[in-house]
Amino acid sequence: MSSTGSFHPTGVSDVAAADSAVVGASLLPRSDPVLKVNALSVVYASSRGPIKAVADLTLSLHQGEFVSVLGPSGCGKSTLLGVLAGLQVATKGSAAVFDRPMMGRPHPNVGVVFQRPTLLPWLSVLDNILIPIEAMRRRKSDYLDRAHELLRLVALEKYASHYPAELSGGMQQRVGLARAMIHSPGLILMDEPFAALDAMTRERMSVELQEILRESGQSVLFITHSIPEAVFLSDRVLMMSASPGRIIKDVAIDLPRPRVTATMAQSEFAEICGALRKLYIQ
Amino acid sequence: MSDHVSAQSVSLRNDTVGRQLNMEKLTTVIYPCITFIALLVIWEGSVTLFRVPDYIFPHIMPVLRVLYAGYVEGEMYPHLAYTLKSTLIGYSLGCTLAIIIGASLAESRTFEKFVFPLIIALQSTPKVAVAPLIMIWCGYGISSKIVMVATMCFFPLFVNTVTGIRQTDPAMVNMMRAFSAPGWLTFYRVKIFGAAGHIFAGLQISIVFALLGAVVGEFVGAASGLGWLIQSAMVSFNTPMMFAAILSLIVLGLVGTAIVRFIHRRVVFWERSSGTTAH
Ligand SMILES: Nc1ncnc2c1ncn2[C@@H]1O[C@H](COP(=O)(O)OP(=O)(O)OP(=O)(O)O)[C@@H](O)[C@H]1O
Ligand SMILES: [Mg+2]
Repeated sequence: MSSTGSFHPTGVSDVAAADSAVVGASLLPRSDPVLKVNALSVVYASSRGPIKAVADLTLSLHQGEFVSVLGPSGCGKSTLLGVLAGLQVATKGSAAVFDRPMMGRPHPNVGVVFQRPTLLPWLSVLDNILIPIEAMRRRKSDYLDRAHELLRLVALEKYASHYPAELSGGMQQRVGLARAMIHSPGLILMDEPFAALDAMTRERMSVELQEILRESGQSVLFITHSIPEAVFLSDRVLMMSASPGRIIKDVAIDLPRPRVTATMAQSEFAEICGALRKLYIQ
Repeated sequence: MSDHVSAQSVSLRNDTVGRQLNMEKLTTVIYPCITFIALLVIWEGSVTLFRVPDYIFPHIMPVLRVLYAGYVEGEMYPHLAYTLKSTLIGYSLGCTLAIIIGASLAESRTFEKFVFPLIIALQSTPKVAVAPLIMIWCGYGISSKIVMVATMCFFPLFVNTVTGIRQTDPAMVNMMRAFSAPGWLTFYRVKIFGAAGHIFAGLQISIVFALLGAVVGEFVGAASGLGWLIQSAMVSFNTPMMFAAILSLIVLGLVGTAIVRFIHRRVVFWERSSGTTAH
């Protein structure tokens, strides 16, 4: 995103109108969205009766965009990601990734980073990164160069033959990131990837992630419940209501890129965070 | 100067830590030896003190004599070999079947529906009770012992295999699904390895069950083997021989367990490094 304006809280609570009202997004060339979710509802059947996890949720994400979904715990963020990753099916409404409706089957052009690293302890870092390649039944040897390049990108080039237990939590999460990118997916879905890390590591990971994406240029849907993290990384922040989750605000973040650690100390950054926080309280 | 002093105190502390570690190691060897020697002393002492006749409870010496004749002069080897052979073949057979059937059952709901009630029924059957039947079906040769061993060691490993595979971390399975992995890849990359700790624990338990099966088979009908030795010694009140044979079985069990444990630690290396070794 190259817009130069400052913070534009759109204050749109009507989700259907959100797209046209967001200034930042409207500056983009209107290609077909990478991701399109329309009036999505997900209801879990449980012994205590149906639980509505996501209600009437609409969002879209365009080529090259970094969009964060920000919401309180239990509002249905992981459920949304589950549908987009093809791990579960919508009860109502639709979700499409690269124009293919998601019906509980993963799209091969998508990479997922999970809340926990979910590395296989019995495989080396390199073999873990190559799992998606193996899953797509492609030749692993064709991807060795790319794997090493990604390892360099996530600053783990010396750890290719290490096992996950020999790495710190932050390093493991970076391996998970490399794994999600090995097949050069057009879209990366991330479910609170840094939530389990301490505040300092977390900040560093945000900066690193931004660097990595600047080189690769992929679209990202990033789930988080940290306002500064969302503001630092995103072109747009979508705020979700408490359970059952809907998008209640669509906010463009127009801080210039590249954003660096010092950006987080800027008054502009703090202002945006403060405004978002206020939106939440309402 | 102060640097020097602190360096010295550090090395001092390391020394004490090292010494403590050594003591720790030493005591884990010495203490059980003391218990063992105490037992021998109590054994010999009370047998002598109460003048227990050898045919009821032998002195240590006659047992040693039988062991000497058995393992130095070699009288015991054919029997040891016979029991070892049926145990090893039956163990391999039973364990292979347990892993294959356990894994299929854990993976396929349909297969589970077909065979689960049968397996529950078989599991609650006291296996020793079917030993005579197995003799009728398989004859008095080694094949009946092999079947008996396989039957005995099947269930512990079967249960562990099913549990291990069922307990696969769902997050890992989801991860594989999210990357479009086919079912067989998830099974091979995630489930089998995830269950490895349980499977090895089962393999270890099954060793004792395998020996039990071999001995029972030989009790019911055989012409050699350590179990047969025990039974035929009973007829002549040859308790030293019984002791020697039982000791041999104990050693077999211990050695087998040690081997499985060694392989376990080698293969399932990731459990060791995360500090959750299964015993
Ligand atoms: N398998 C399930 N069965 C029944 N209810 C579920 C299930 N998974 C989630 N839920 C419910 O759906 C709601 C949304 O859950 P979800 O995991 O999507 O939240 P989340 O926003 O990701 O929360 P967090 O930030 O804590 O990860 C919660 O109220 C939860 O209780
Ligand atoms: Mg979640």
